[in-house]
Amino acid sequence: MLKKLISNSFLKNSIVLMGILFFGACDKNGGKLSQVNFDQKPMLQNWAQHIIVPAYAEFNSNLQQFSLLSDSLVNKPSNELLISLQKNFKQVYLSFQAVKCFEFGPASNISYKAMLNTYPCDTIKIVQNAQQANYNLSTAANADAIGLPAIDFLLFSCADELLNNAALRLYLQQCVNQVGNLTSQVVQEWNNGYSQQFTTAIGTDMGSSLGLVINALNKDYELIKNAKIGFPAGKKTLGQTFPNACEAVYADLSTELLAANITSIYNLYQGLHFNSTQRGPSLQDYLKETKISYYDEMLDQAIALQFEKAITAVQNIEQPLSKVISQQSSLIDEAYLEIQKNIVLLKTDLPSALGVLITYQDNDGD
Amino acid sequence: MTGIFSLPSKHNRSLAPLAVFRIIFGALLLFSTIRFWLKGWIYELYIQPQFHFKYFGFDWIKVAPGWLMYTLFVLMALAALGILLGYRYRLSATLFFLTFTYVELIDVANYLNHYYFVSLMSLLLIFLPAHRLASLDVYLKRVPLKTHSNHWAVSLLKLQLAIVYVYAGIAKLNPDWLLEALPLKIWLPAQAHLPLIGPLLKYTWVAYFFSWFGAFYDLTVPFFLSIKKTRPYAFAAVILFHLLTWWLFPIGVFPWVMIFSTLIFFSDNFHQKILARLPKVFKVSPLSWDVKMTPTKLPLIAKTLIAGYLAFQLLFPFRFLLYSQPLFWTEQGYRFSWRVMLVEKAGYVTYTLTNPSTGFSAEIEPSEYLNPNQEKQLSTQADLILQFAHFLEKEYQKKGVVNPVITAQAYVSLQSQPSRLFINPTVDLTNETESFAAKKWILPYAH
Repeated sequence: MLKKLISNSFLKNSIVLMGILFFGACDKNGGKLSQVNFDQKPMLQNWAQHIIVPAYAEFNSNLQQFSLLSDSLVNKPSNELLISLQKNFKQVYLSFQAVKCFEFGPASNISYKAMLNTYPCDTIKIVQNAQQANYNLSTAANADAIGLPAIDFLLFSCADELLNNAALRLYLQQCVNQVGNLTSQVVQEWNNGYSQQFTTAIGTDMGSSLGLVINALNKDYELIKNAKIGFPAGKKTLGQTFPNACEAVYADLSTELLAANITSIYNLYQGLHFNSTQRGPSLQDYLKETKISYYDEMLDQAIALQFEKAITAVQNIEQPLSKVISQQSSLIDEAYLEIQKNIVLLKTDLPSALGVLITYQDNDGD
Repeated sequence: MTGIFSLPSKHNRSLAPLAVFRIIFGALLLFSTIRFWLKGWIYELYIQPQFHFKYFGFDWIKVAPGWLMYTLFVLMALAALGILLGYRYRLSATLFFLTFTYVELIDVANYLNHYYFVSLMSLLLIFLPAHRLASLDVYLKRVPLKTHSNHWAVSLLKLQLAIVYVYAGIAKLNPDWLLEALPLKIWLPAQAHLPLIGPLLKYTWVAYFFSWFGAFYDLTVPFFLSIKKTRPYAFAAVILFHLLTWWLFPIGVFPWVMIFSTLIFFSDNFHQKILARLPKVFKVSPLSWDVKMTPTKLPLIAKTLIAGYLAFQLLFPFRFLLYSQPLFWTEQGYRFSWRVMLVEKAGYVTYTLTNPSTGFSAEIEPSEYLNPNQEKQLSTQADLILQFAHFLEKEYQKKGVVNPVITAQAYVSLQSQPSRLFINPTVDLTNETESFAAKKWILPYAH
C-alpha cells in the first residue's frame, strides 16, 4: 500500500509540481530561448594565427637582426656598431613584451620567460663569468647573469669596456645567441604542431587553451605588478626602494616596457591582430556573450576600461621608472593601484564569468 | 520492505550486500590511492608546499617527511587491498582509515566532500563484519563464516549514503540554484563543444533542467533505490547522473564511488548471486544462505555509538543556520555538509604587513608561499585567510619585525556577481583568533 502510494501518486505529483516550478523559474530569466552562444575555436585560431605566432615571428626576426649586429661587434668592434646595437635593443625588448605573457606550452617547457628576463641581473657575476671564460649560461646559478637584462647591462653600462674587451663582447654574443636559440625553439614548436594542438584544446579546465591563456596572462600581469613596479618602488620591502631593480634599468626603458606589456595583454583581450587594428574573436567577445554585468556596466567593458586606465596611469609617469621611483610617489602609486584593480577583475570576475579552472586537482567545491 | 529504514527484523539479515560492498569499495580505494600517487599529488600537495592549512582543532597534525609520506601511501594501498580481499580485515580497515584520514587532515586546502565520505565509510567498515564471508580471512580460517547478522551492519551504510544524497539535495534548495540556475548556467555553456549533448548546453533552460533534475535526484534517489519496483529506474538515474557529472566536471573518482556504492541498495538475492560467481576462494555456496539464525542483539554501547554518530551526521551540516551572514559568502559552516558543486567563486587576496615601529609597509603575495590550489582555496575562505595571516606574523617576527600589523585585501566574485571586498581591510588579523564564533571581520555581502 505504502509502496504503491509512493511510486504512483507521489511520483506523479512531484513531477507535475516540479514542471510548474521549473518553467516558472525559467521564465523569470528571459525564457528558454536565452543562451550563451560562443564558439571557442575561432577565438583560439585568432589567438594562434593572428596574435601569438606573428608576435613571436616579429620578436624572432628582431633578434636575428640583433644577432648579426652582435656577431659583427665581436669580429670588428666599433662605436657605430655599438650604437646601432643600442638602438636595436629597444625594439628587441619592446617586441619581447608582446610574447612574454604566452608562458604555456612550448615557452613554459623551457622556462622561457625566466631564461630571457630575470632581473635585476647580477652585474658582478656577469663580469666574472666573462673573464673566467668557462661559463655555462644554462645553469640555474647563472639565471641572473643572462638574457635581456645581461645584454642591457653590457650594452649600456659597459659600453666602453665592450669596445676594448673581447671577453665581454663574446659574453654579449653568447647571451644574444642564447636568447635567439630559445626563441627559435619556441617559434618552431608553434609552427610544427603546437598551433594545431592549441586551437583544438577547447574547454575550461587547466589543460584547455582558454585555461592556459587566462592563467598565463594573470601570472604575467601579477609579475608586471610585482617585479616591474612593486618591488623597485618598495611595495614589498617595508619602505626601502630599489631603483636598480627596474627592468632595463641601464637602457632607461622601464616605463615604456611596462606600458607595452600591459598593452599587449589588452590587445590579446580585445583580439587585436598583431600590429594591426583589425579585430578577431576575443575574450572580450566571449565575456560580452555571457551578458554578465559589473555594477553599472557590462563586465567586458569594465575590464577594457580598467586596462585603459592602467595604461594611461603608466604613461603619465613619463620618465623611466628607475629615475623617479624614489620621488614621484603619487604617480607611481596611482599606476600601481590601477594595475591592482585590473588584476582583481582578471583574477576574479573574468574566470568566474567563464567558469575557468585554475588547478589540476579534483574539485567538488566550486 | 527492504528499505533503508527497515525495521529490526525477527531474523538476522544477509551479509551479502556488505561483502560485495567491501570488495567494490576496497577496489576503488586501491585505484584512487594509486591514481593519487601517479598524478604526482603526494609530492605536489604534501611534500613541496612549505606551508599547510590546519583544520580547526587539528593544529597538532604535522606533515611527515617525504619518504614517510610515500611509505604511508604504500601502507594505504596495502590496506585497501586488505579490505578488498578481506585479509586481516579489521587491521586493514583500521590502517586505511588512519592513514587516509591523517593525510586528509594535513591540509584543509585539499578538502573534498568525497574524501570526507571515504573517511567516514572506512571508519564504519572497521566495525562491520564485512569479512565474515567471501574473504581470505574465512578461507584461511582466521574467522568462521557468518552469512547473517544484525540488520544494522548493512543499514548503517545505506543510511550514510542516504544522508550524503539527501543533504546534497537539501543544499541545492536555495534561490541561486533553483531560481537562477547558478552556477550551472555559467558552467554548462562552457562545455558546448562536447559531442552529443554539447549543443544543448548553451541554452539557459538546460541549466535550469539540470539544476532541478539534480536537486530532485539527490533528494529522492535513496528512497527510489530502496523500493524494489522503482529500483531499476533509480539505478539507471544513478548511472546517468554520475556519468554526466564525471563527463562535465573534473570531480575525480567520486562518480565511480557513488555509482558502485549505491549497489548496496539492491536485494540480498542480487548480492548473493554476485558472490556465487566469485573465484573459488571467495565463493559463498548458495546453500549457506538458508540458515536462519536467531537475531544478534547489539550491546548498548554499540547502539549508543551508532545513535551518536547518526545524530552528528544529521545535525552538524545544519550549523550554518547559526550564522547570520549568507553561507555562500562567509562559508562558515560550509564543510562536512555535502555541499557539492554549488558555487562559482573566485578570489584574489594580498596582505599588507606594517612594521609599527617604522610605519613602513610591505605587500605580500601568498603565491610566494603557496601552491596554486592552496592559493585558490585561500582566496575565498576566511578561516584560511586568517590562518595565513598568523603564518606571516611568525615569518616576519623571525625577520625581526616586532608586533607586525597584518591586513588582508581580499576580493571575491561569488556566482559571477561583481567582485567585492571580502575581508575588512582595516582589521589587524594578528589580533583575531579562529573559533566557531561568527567572524566579525568578514564584510557583509551587500555592502
